[in-house]
Amino acid sequence: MVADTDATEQTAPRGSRFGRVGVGVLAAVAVIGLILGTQLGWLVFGNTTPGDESVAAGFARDMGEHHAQAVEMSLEVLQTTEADDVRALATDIASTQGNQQGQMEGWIRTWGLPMARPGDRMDWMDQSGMTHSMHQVEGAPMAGMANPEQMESLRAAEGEAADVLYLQLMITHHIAGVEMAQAAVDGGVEGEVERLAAAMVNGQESEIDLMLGMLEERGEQSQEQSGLTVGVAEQSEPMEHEDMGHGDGADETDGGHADH
Amino acid sequence: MPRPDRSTSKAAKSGKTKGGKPPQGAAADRQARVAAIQKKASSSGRRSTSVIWIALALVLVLIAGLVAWAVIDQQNNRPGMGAVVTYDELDDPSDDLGRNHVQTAVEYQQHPPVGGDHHPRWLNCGIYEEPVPSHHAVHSLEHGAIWLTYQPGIAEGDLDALRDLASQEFMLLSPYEGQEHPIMATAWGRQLGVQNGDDTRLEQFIRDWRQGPQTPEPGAACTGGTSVDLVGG
Repeated sequence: MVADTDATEQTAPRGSRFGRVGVGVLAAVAVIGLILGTQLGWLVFGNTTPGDESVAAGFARDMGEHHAQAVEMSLEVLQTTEADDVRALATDIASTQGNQQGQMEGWIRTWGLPMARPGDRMDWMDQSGMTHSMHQVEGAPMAGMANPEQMESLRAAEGEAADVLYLQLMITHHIAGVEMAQAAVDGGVEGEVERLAAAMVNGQESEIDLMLGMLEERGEQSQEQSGLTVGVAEQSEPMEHEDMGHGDGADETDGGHADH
Repeated sequence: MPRPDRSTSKAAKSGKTKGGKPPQGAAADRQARVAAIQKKASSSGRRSTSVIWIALALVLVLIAGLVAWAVIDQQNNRPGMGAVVTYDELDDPSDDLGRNHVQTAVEYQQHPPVGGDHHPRWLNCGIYEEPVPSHHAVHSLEHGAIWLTYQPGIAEGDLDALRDLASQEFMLLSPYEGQEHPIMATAWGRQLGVQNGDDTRLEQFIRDWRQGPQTPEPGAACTGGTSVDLVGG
């Protein structure tokens, strides 16, 4: 009798206990599985590359356009120049900035973003807290870039006149380029983007020094030094010195821009 | 399987005494009570089990709903681009549109053309007030440019909107006589016709196809070409 009771006592409760525990375990496993799965999903499919409106994407697009004009200007002057130093500089700028432009375009594609920007040029610079104190000549797409009239003047010029015009336009181009690259660094870009932006700051700054020296050798001044806009028929407002990122250099006349 | 009769053992347990069976009358009562408790316990056991299953099912339905919503929301954010006509599929080795360099004017099938043979010099990107030579413009398409064209005489508001769109790189804007729609956007192998300059599909078309996957020559420039017709006569 007691044995029977024990037997029934044991099997029946165990059956229901097992059922309840089993379901509980199954539920717990399912919930944990869901949580883990969601985490894995975020990891695998979540966006960890710069977004369409990020500083990195804005920098890549804008600097890409900026570089494209520097390459165009350099290729233009290469066809007419007779000066070795200008030929060397133009070759250098064309190949370097052409390569860098390709790098930046590659980033945009790898990030899965359209080449076309979502808003206006330099929108991303507002993000980094940079005020738009950069000089932009009327009709130019972006700060530092030449407008169509200036580009046409460069195409039409030859020999020494073309060399001087090229150097003047390129100095202005570089000054803005340095500011844009610095804005990207300040804006917190990372990895390869940061490396290239920092390299642009350094490289273009020393090229500005080089070009100022080349102009001086020719007895000419940069646009920033003279306050005049070159390659245009009419002068719009004169360029202001304080806008220029390359502070002291603009006023030096002792040729102290060493290391070429 | 018939449930085992537990009344006796339960009664013994609930009795809590080492004692044997309670007197018959009270035992029957207790048995009945215990049976009721057991029934409630097991059915509540059943209920808590089903509650868990229902909860699981609800969670799954919730997840399915979220996923569906995300997918549909993504579709809705892109304006209906079904109106884009495709003349050359991506990854299509048959190359329906020719790409030879020729020094003469070319007769194209589409107006404006979406690709085909063209002049060795591309048309510099920008805004043109007069119709442009197609044999140069098609080369610009090959470089990834978007060619916006309009029927001469469209409203000034529409034209302003088009000028705004064309102020970016790799954009061409020109009037085109005899095209089917008031405003058309063309990329290599792709074309869209719209009525108004502020049609949001224009911007989406540009985002999709400017220097996009259809570009036969990626990396090529849209400057350094020509701004005038180089084919004589």
